[in-house]
Amino acid sequence: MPPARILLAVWLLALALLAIFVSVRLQLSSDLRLFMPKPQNAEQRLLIDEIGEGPGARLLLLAIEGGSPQALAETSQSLLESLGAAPQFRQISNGSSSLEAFPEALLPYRYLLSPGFDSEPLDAGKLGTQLQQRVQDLNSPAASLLKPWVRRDPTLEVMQLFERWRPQNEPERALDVWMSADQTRALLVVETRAAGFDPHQQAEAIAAIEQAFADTRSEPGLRLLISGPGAFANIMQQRTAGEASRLGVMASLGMMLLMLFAYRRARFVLLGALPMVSAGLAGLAAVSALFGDVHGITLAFGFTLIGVAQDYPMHLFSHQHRGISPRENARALWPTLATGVASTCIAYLAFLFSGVTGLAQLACFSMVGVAVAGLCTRLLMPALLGDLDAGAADSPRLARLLGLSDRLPRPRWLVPALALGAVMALLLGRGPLFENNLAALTPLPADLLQRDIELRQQLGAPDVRHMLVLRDHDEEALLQRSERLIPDLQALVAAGTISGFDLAARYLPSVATQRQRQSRLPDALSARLMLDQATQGKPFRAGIFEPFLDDLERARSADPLRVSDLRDTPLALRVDSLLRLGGDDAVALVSLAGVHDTGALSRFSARHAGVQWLDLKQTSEQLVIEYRERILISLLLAAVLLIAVIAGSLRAPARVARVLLPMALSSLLVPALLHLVGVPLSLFHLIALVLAAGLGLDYALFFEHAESDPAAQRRTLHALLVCAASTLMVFALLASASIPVLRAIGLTVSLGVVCNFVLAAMFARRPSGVSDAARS
Amino acid sequence: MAIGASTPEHLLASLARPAPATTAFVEIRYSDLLSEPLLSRGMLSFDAADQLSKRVDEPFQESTVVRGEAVRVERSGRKPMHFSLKRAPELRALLVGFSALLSGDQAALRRHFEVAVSGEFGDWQILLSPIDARIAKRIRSITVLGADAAPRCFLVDQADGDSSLMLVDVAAAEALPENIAVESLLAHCRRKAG
Repeated sequence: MPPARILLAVWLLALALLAIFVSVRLQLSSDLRLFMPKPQNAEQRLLIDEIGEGPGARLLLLAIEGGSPQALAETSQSLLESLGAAPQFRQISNGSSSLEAFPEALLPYRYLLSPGFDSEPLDAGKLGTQLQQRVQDLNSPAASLLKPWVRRDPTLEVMQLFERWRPQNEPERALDVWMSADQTRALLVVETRAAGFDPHQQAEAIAAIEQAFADTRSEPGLRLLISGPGAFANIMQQRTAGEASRLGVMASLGMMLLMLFAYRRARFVLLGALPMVSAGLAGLAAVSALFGDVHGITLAFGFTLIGVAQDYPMHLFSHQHRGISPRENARALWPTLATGVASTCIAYLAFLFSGVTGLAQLACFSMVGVAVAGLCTRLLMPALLGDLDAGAADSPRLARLLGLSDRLPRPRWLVPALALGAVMALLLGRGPLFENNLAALTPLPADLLQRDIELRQQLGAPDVRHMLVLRDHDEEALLQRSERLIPDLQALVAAGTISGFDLAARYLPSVATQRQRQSRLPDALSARLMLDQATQGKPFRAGIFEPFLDDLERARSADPLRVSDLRDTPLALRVDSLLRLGGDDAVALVSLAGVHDTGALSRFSARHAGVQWLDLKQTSEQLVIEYRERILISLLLAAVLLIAVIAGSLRAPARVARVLLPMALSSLLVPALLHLVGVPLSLFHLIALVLAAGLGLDYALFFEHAESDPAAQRRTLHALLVCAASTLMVFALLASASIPVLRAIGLTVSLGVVCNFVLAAMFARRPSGVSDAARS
Repeated sequence: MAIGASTPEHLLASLARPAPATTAFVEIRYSDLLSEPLLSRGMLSFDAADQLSKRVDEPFQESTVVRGEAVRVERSGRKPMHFSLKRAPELRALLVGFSALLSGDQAALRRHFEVAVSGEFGDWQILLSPIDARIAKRIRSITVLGADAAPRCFLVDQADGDSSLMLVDVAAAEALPENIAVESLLAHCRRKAG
């Protein structure tokens, strides 16, 4: 067997082994927080927790639409019953306040939880008035609702508690269930057991909901909408996978056609794929070995980012001709190629230390991939090339193109004019230069976000922007402080500063308050006397109120309730989302609704020691700004390092300037263009700019490297044209994607490729016939 | 005239009235929680197929309005209660029965109830047993007692043993017997009119 065949076999075998390793090790993750910055202080930590693991992240909002209000209400109710038993869910509510949901064991505690007897204690007079009401209740159409409670709870304390616990901005109720105001949607809230960003279990939970809906819907025309972080993770995974593979297939096909057109041999096409495949597999293997799981985005977009690796074999191919052995060809190209590889790696280094796991993964993937592709091209490819000749030097079209490019005017003022124009555009353009919205970092399509906002509004979810934060060493201290805050918060509502508030102490009073209520309950003997007195002259049968007396006695002697006693009760959902216990740092949140006057709110927080006003929007914007600043600083450092590498490789300052100028100018022009068309720059644009800069640097290096010999110049132009055309094709495809990140990257890189190529051709290339000596 | 096999339809047809139909009522409620029956008086009006209003004037004031599936109960000095018919099956049974009887829609009546007619035209009774299991769990039966072409009383027997008897129309205006236990009142309802 010829050595080339053996090498190819060994190479393919190695790739197969890598593929097996990757498929065993690779854990796909869709946790969008991987692409969010690390929190730097307590507020930011709270914010990221809220986004990630907080109960809010486990919530799925459901809407049933497409039927009469009756059909919607019926289906909402049967969905509730069907999902109530499913193991995937902790809570499900549709607004039907079923008193039966109040856990039996907690029922006696109503006398400790309710403030009903705080202002005037339970006595014969108060009980008597209540009993008179019950007589009327039993004689009314509501009798069947209330009768089951009369013996045990003659003052209907449970109902008053439910009334009190209702969310202040609850959606409207129609036919017993939550509905949108126009009664076209029945609304439900589901809390999954799985964390919001556990994609597999979220997918299972969503499948369970869809199955239950299909089984229970009362009309075939009804539709179910599911929103919330878990649903988004699920949809994104499907969409990303679908779109990435569709674009991937199109890009591969296009690439093959382009390679066939450029090199006219199938062998070039097949060989050209080898470094790219090696790069992808090696990159994946490195990421899965270092990080354990790989984000779907890393996987989908990593391959587009290492598209630069596809260029390496093309340079080799285009420069291959009969006058040179493939080995000599590779050796001659290597200094330029290696400089390109090194500078691309340096650019990605900035992301490796960005403090964002997703970006570090992308960087690791790209650096390993690019390095492997470069080494494959240098060390393995030449042995497989044989005596192929790309024939680039003989092309009359390339010769004409070169002549044209030589005659292009290169006015001295062009570079400063372009740079000045770009800076002016960046400084003076309308609209925000940077995207400060944290949500824009999670690559969700706008229509999904819009629907989520709509559902949240209809469900009356609290203002997610403002909240008050209390910190203390334990649960009891927090609850006591919260209770003392309630009258002042009510004053804020009365003053119109806010329209409502919610806090854990509304559901669970402090132990001290519960003990105080206990002390005011009558003992067994006085309770019996009180009852006898209250029933006097009322048509109740004797002895029916024994369950009431039992509950009173149990409430009087029970241990007060604590947060841990609420587990698996409907109260836990509310209390857990407002009270974060754990370690020494317990946090109580006061959620606010309808904040009208932030000034008054800040004065309120200043007046109350230890009550901190948190503006989550500001916090998240601050987080994004700090995050971007860190990345920009790393990019600056990377740029310095890059210049050092280029300088070390090219030595002559004039050559260094020629190579760096097109890339530097493009990196100004592309953001200026984006800004001019009103696109705020997000993190993904920055990633794409780095990729475009890496490509531009390669173009400039190769243009600059080419010797003055016209044949060599034609080969270089051929290589760079193939490279730029293939890259442009792939990224123009991405720019057509529906996912915002893909679009951002596609658009930026496409612009970057054009700018870089044109500028490199103008300024980095030495015009034909001008010798090195003449230029320097 | 004895009601033969062919006349229940005739009887049911004769009960039909155009909406709105309004009548005074006297209602007596029997409950295992109570030591004596509760008596109330007021006006009942059937406005359309799914619209019913019930106003209690004595011994306290209360108004109930049913619009479609939604029920609203308002009593002086208390916050109005809202709930759906689903949670008040006896009200639904009454409404469905009423509306089918008054509109003469026998098909609807038989869709919701097993219908058994007995007695004579001058003293008849219609026994309605709910077919829907959810209603049957709460309501054992509704008995309509009447004379000639007018109902006099509706007796709702709940599954938990409680019951309520509602005297309407002429029967509501008549003097009640001294004894308001259910047997005594049923006898009063059966008394042939005029």
